[in-house]
Amino acid sequence: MKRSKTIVLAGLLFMLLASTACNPGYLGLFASIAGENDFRVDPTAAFKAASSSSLVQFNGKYYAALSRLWERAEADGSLWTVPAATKDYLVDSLVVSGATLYAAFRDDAGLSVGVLSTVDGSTWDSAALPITLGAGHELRGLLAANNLVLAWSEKFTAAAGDIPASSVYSLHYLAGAVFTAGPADLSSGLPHSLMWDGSNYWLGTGNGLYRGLDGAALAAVTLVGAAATASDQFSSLVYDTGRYFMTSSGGKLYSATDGTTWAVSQGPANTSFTTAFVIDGLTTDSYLLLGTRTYTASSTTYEADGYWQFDISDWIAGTALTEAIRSYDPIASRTNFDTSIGNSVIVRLAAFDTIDGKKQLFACTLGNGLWSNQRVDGTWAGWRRESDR
Amino acid sequence: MRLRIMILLSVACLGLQLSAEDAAPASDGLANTTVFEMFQPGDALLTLSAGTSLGIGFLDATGQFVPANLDPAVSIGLSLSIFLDNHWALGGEFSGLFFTTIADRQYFCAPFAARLTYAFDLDPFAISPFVALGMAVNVLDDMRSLNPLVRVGSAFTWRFNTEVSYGLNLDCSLIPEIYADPAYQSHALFLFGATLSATYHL
Repeated sequence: MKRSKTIVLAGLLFMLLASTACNPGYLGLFASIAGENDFRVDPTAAFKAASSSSLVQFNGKYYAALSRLWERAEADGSLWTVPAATKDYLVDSLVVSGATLYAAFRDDAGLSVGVLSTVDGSTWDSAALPITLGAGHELRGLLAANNLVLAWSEKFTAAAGDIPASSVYSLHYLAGAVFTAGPADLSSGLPHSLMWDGSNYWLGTGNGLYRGLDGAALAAVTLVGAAATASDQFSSLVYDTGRYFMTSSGGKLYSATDGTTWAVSQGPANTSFTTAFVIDGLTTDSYLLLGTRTYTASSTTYEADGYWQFDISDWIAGTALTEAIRSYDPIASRTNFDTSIGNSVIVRLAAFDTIDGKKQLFACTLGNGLWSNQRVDGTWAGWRRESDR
Repeated sequence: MRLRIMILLSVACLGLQLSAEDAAPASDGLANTTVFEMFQPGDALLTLSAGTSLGIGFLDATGQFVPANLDPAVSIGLSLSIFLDNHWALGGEFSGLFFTTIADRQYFCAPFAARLTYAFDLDPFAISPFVALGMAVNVLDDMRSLNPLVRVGSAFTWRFNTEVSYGLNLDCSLIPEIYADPAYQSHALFLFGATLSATYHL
C-alpha cells in the first residue's frame, strides 16, 4: 500500500515537473492560443495578397492604393470595394490636402494619366491637373503635408559601360489647380516623406532632407550626424511634437530636435526599416513603430519582422534599438502580432480618428494585404485582416 | 488531409469488422443460448476510435474562463483495456487531435494515458465510464510542451458479435499548463471529445 502511494506521488510529481519544464519560448503554448484574435475573414486571393502603397481617410471613408483605388466606409466591418468611377485605372499614390483627395493614376498599359482630384470621393476631375514634366521624367507619386501637395517624377538612366544605373528626381508643387515646377533633377535619392513641423516643410529623400517654407523654397539641409550611403538610404521621416525621427534601410533610427543635428540609434542586426510612424494621443504614452522589410546582406536573406515598436514617451536620443526595449502592448499582444503581421513587410502605417471616437490604425503590407487595429475605450482590439468580401 | 485520415479510419474499422466476422461465425449460435458475463477477467479490448474534439475553453491564471480559440478537431485514438474482473479494466490509450486555431495555426495534441474503466454489462450493450491519467504532447508551430492530462468519460457500446462492438465515446479532458514564473501564462485547457469506435474483443 505504501509502495502504491509512493508510485502515485512520483507520477504526479513527474507530471508537474514535465508541465513546468517543457515550455520553451517567450509565451506559454496555451497562453499563445488564448491570446489569438480571429481575423479569418475571407478576402479574395488577390486582395489577400495585395500590396498597398498608401492609405488615407477622406470624407467618411478610407481610400487605399492597392494597384487599383479601393474604398471602404468607416463603419466597423465595412468591406473594401473598387469604385466604378476609377475601376479602369491603376493608382500609384493617394494624398489628402484640405478638403480634396488627390490620386496619381496610370492606365492599364502603365502609362501615366496624371493627378486627378475629387472633393466628394466619387466625382473625379475629368482631366488631369496640368503638370509639365522634364525630358525623360515620369510621374511617380504624390506627397502631402499641411497645405502642400508635391508630385515627384523620376528620370531613370540605365547602366552603360562603367556608368551605373541612376535616377534623378524633380519636384512639382501644387499651386491652385496647376503643378508648378520646383527643384529639378535632384540626385537626392527616392522622395519618401513630406511633413510640416509648424514652421517649415521637410521633404525626406533617400540621401537627405530638404526644407522650405513652401514647395518652391525646398532646399537641401546640411545634416550633422546622419549620412546616407548607397547601401543605407534614408527611408522615412516623421515629426512628432518637437521631435524628428528618420529611419534608414540599414536599420538605423535617427532622432533630432531641430531636424539638422541627429543622434543615431543602431537597430537590430540585419534589419531594414521601411517606414516610421508615431502614434500618440493614447493617455500619456507615445509609440514609435518602425516597419521592416526582407533584407539581403552578404547573400543571406533576413525575413521581414513586421514592425518594431518603442515607447518614446521618455525617449533618449541614441538609445540602441534592442529586443529588450521593444514592445508589443498596448497596440497588440505578442501572440496577435506574431500571428498576424509579424512576418510581413510593412510598407506604410497610418492612424485615423473616427467620427465615433475610435482610433483606427492600418498597416499596409507588401504582398499580405491590408490589416487594421482599432482602439475602443482605451483598449486595442488587435490586428485583423481587412477584406473585400 | 483530414478527409484522408477519416477515410483511412473508416476503412480500418470496416476491416476490423470483416475480419471479426470471418473469425467468429461459429460462436453466434452459442451467444443466443448461453448465459455468460460480457467481460471476463483477462479479456482484452482493443479500440480504434475516430471523431472530433471541441475546445471548451481555457481557465487562465486569474480564474477566468476564456474561449479556446480552436476549431473542432479531427481526433483519432487507440486504446487497450484488460479486464481485472467482470467490470473493472485497466489499460492505456493514445490519441491524436488535430486542431486549427482561429488565427489559422495548426495545433496538435497527442494525449497518452493510463485508463481505468468500469463496465456496466447490459448485454448486448455496455456502458463503460472511465478515468484516464497521463500526459499530453502539445505542438503549436515551433512551440512544444508536455503537460499532464486528466480525462473522464464514458463509452456506450453495442456488441455486434462476440468479438466486435461499436460504440459512441464521450469524454472531457483537462490539460493544465503551469508556469511558476510568470504565473500569468498558466492556462488549463478543457476539451470535449465525441468519437465513434470499433472495439475488437481479443
